[in-house]
Amino acid sequence: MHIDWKSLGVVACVSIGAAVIIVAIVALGIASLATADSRRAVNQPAGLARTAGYACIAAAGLIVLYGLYLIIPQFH
Amino acid sequence: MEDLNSAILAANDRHFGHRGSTGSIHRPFTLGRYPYTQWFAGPVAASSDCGDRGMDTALFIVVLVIVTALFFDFTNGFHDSANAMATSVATGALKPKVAVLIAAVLNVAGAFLSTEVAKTISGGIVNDALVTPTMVFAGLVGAILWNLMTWLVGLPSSSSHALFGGLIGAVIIGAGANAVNFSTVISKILLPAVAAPLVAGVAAAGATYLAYKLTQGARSKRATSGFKHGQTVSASMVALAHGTSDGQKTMGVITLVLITSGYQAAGTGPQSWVILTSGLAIGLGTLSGGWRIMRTMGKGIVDIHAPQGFAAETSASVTILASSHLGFGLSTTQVCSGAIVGSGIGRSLHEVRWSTARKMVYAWLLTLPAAALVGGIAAAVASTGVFGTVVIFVVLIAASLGIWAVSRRTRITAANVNDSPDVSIYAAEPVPAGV
Repeated sequence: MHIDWKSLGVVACVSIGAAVIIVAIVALGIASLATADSRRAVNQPAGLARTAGYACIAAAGLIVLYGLYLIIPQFH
Repeated sequence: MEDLNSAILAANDRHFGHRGSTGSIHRPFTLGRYPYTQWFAGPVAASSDCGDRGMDTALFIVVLVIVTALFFDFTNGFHDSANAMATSVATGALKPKVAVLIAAVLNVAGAFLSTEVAKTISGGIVNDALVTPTMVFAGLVGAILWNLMTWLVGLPSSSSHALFGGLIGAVIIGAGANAVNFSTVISKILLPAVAAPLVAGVAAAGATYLAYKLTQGARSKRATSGFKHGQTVSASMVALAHGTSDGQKTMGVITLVLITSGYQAAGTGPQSWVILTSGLAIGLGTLSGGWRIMRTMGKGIVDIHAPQGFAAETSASVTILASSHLGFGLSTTQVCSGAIVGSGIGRSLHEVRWSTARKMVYAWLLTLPAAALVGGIAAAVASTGVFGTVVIFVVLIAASLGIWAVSRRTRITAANVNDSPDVSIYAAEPVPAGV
């Protein structure tokens, strides 16, 4: 019986790593934007937080595009 | 003429025949007096007026298999609509009807996009040279009935494994246990069944923990609505990924049955009408909602909140993509369910309703044997001839209607899917007023 442990290991590592990283990026983006909102509410400068937030969201968007590239067979 | 007939018979036996327990060769599509050659050779064996009957019988069985395959595709659709959308429906990120509409559209789109149709029905689990359309029919019957039973009690279960199980049962009865490659069963069904929820669960647990940790300070509505938007995106990814992988399953089954019955040239891909009808069947199934399963996945196992839902669906889609691209196939249902459990653990161990999770695991363990049992019984009856096949089909319809009738007692619809975490088949006793 041939079990491909190596493939399973690769799948596990890639899945766990990618899931944690992607969710972390989105969570950071959301947290930054929320910080920007609360700073704006008390009239503090919020530009940095807002930029960081949108940058994270943009990174997540690129990851989604890569995911679509992987899913749709026509692209490869 | 005799030489040609015997040559055709010999070729048929090599391709289709299999040895029964007495050592004699069984040829599929034979109804006792109407041998296969009459149908295959057509005008060559012109002396018999039974030729048309043989052809009609074979055609009838093929049509029956196609109809049953599409029915299976429908049950596959509503079973798996919950995979992508349960968490989004539970948190309100998407309204229930919108969710299933998106899932249906993406499932169908994925089905039309997928180009790589399975070259074998079972991927090496059974010896495909020995599989006849009748066995495929019996296998589908087993898979459909298992899908419907698990839908009735609201438990998510893998449609792929149900199909494999039904096929295994039918093949054991029809061609003997030697036709089943049990080591492949272990490596392609049992091991992935353990690996899928573990990998997805660990991924989701870590992701959920981080999601809550990183947004600890953000109590604003921004955080929740941000995760809800993320849920929409990740749920759509799961639906699309599922469509590309599962959509072609039924197309592959129908195409292979057409090829082995000679209605299509070997080595060709699925015809347009096969693609259209299969896509339509899975789309309609997804649209019908599978609300019973959706309730369990969204509320019954873990009471999902937006960050958990986002983490769960992201982990699920990542795992599905990684497994399909890195060569270790995993069941979508088991990945999504494992991710949901993991997202519950990621918040706290108390979040998970372990009684429901246990029931789900029991259902997974039972999938193969139960579907195999029904598939085997169906194969035993159906291989007695056309009458047996029709009897099984009638039993399938009757059982399906019966299960549907029982489900009506405790209807779960788009309107009440979020009202409770429990799916019951017993109508609640009316509480007397004023007590």
